[in-house]
Amino acid sequence: MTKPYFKSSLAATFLFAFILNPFNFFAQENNPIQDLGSSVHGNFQIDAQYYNEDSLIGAPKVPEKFLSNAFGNINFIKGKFSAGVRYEAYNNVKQGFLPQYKGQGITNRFVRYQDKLFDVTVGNFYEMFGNGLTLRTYYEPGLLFDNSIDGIRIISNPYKGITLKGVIGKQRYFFTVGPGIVRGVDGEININELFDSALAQMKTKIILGGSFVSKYQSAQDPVLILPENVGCYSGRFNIIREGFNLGAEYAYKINDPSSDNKLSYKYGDALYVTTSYAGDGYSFLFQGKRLDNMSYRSDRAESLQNLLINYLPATTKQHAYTLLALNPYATQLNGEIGFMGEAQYKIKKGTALGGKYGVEITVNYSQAHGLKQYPVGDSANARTLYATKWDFKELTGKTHHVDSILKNGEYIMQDVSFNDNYRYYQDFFIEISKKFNKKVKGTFMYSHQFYNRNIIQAGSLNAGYKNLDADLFLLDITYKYKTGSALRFENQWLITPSKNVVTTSNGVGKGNWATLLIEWSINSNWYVAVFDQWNYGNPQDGGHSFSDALIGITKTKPNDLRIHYYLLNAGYNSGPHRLAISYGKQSAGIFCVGGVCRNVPASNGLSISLTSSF
Amino acid sequence: MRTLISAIVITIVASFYSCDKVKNPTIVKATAVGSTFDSVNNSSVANFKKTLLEDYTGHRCGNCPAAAKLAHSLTAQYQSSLVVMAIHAGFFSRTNSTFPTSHTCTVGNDWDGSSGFNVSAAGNPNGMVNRKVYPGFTLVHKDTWATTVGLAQADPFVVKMNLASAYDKTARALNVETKLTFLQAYPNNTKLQLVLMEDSVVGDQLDYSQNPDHIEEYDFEHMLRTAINGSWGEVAKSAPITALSTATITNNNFSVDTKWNDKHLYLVAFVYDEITREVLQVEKLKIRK
Repeated sequence: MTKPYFKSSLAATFLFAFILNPFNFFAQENNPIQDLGSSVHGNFQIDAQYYNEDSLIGAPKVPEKFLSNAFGNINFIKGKFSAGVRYEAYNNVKQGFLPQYKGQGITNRFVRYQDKLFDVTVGNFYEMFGNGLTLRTYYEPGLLFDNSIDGIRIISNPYKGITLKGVIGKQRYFFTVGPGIVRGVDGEININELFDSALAQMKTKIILGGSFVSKYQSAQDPVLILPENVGCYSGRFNIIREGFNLGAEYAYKINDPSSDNKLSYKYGDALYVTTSYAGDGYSFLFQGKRLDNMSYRSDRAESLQNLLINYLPATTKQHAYTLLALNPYATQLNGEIGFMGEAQYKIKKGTALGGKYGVEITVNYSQAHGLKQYPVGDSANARTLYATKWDFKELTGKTHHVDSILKNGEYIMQDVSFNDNYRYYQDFFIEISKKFNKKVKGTFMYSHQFYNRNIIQAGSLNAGYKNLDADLFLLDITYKYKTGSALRFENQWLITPSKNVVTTSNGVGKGNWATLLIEWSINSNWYVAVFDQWNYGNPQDGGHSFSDALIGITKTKPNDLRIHYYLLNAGYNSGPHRLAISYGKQSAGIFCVGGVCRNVPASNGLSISLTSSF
Repeated sequence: MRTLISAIVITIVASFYSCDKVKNPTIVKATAVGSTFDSVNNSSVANFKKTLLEDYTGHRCGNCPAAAKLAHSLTAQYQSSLVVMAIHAGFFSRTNSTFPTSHTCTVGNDWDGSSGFNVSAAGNPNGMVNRKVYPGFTLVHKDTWATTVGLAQADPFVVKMNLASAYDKTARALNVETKLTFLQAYPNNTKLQLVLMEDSVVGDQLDYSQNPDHIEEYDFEHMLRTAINGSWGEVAKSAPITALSTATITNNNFSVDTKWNDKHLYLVAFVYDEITREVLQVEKLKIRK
């Protein structure tokens, strides 16, 4: 049984101590907090939206009309001691977020003490072991992702160059905690610091690390003997020499039957390699990963982004522009092999190509494939369901997939000829940025994207979507006519050969798209912008043609899905405060941070966002 | 410093044992049936909602006999519409030289544990009525059992259960068939729990109402002995459940321990909501003459 946070005695104790603490009392006299070297700081954010129903774009009726997500952090620091709380309120939670967030309460509170030997945190904490393959907890308010551990963390530096960490607790689950207990230890050795007399001056730095994480969840299944303790361990290294960096981590997880893997008792493993080199005016980056059955949650029945213990890094380009990011990739926890290579080069100024200010060029290529699965011939008794090999057949494109399907109480193997079903994502991207003169700079981008919507969005081969193959172009020109004031023009195109291919997450958008943005930064405080995102290639045109639209016949008919998603934006920035207001339609899409994504439904209405820190 | 490092090393080593590698994951269900059946009283079905009262107790709990008496008087009042079950678990059910015989069992410990209802942690005697949150809490103190059992009489009749058993007294093998008919649509998954309980078990009991308070030959009634299909039962019917849908669940060849007097054994079956854990219907029958 789990307890709501607001019932937690720890929270109550902390709040009591915080509200009644003597420094707060003294602060009303002559503010001795500053005198004693203490500080209080924090931030808050309110995102609210008024919703209009719009069946044409797939914006649902919202009974409350007005929804808001808000949070505020307050942190208190005094010497070696720090403490903080976060209050979150969703009245009710905005569209596109899980409805379990409805409500309000204190969702994070901690007390921390740090000295040379120990760093102890009691309450909620965020931690990452290595690259996160075994454990990573973090908070991302834009996604409403928070898998913090509510428990105890101890970090110690018992000897120079050695860092040890130990954690235990339960993970945040909306306004309560999940059923499973997470325990973990991590050790890291900086070889150069450890042998400082001999190695401190060496240019090559070597860091070794290892971690072990175990979760406990009681099992009550009448049919299967489920493992209640599931361990996951990893080893890693990092070699750094001047501009060169090479790091790798391998993680292994024992049998962890869950709803993610259809209750497979197969082990899981993951390898992540990253290397980079930066020289004068150029840099290279390569990231590769292969992961198999690495969903690791503190509740075996959970799904989506709930109660994830580990983090499987994204190895695809994270785009920021609307159409380039309309169909982003999210790491497939059950298995994938993928890599990304990126080269950046700056053509020096003063050369024939570089001109007066130089030119920056970035080329990126990334892809992700499903793993080739080999049959193991086991029945319902062993339940490993499939095997994989490290033969990299996935990258040849000529392989097949075996799926285990429950039929009449027995698992049968189904061979599926390899085709684009198992090519998950591919992105070739080039960006050229140039400053033309003191006032004008521009960026041009081209991207070719392949997007397997069945797998990435629906998680099923048989969801019925066509794969998206699209060419994308972008032009972004900024004219800075005086300090703090600028005009920005942005134009994007998404062109796909197939008219009927779905291009937005709710299926309303099909075919080609274009966007146009004009943004005016009036001064360093105020800005206004108009934006139109137009699905001009939708096959359901309601009788209009492209040329009609060009000559001004753009009025949308009831059955016309060549929709203009107009948006008016205005904002005010002042120091740490930012207020933004927008009105109009927003198309459905997928919003991602660091490879973790959520589906955002289409909406029509007024949005207000206020952020501030102090 | 050395102590610190040793402690951390021990933690690391200890945590390596936190792995359960499972070689044969599937629980094998028996299919054999017996031949020398006792066919008396081997089925039970009611056209009304029955109530389950769980009495969490222990032989070292001096106030528990008073609760048992109260439960007994409630069965007299409600007859077959109330099924009482005594679960010996927690601190007051531990053994020592004065109370040498353990009456606990795995299913009782699981229900009483932190993954279950944490009853004895709140103190004994305490109970639950249909494992449901009536005004107040899920846990019901004995002083409000009568009121709560009264409130439970108004609960809706969701599922009709036809419980039948065939017991081979030579092989001590019990075969159970449970037929369920949902009388209305139901939104959540439901589970079936089968347990055995024994009457007329004699043993030591602390009883503060007596002087001396140590009773050497106390008569324990409806004592939970074992679960037939695991501590949390098995899936009865998965949601969405439509009105008038049925399910038949068979549990064959359950081996009845020779330590128990099979003439005093009762089979209890109840259907509960997997999410809320509320008991929707309960039936009880004697497995042999």
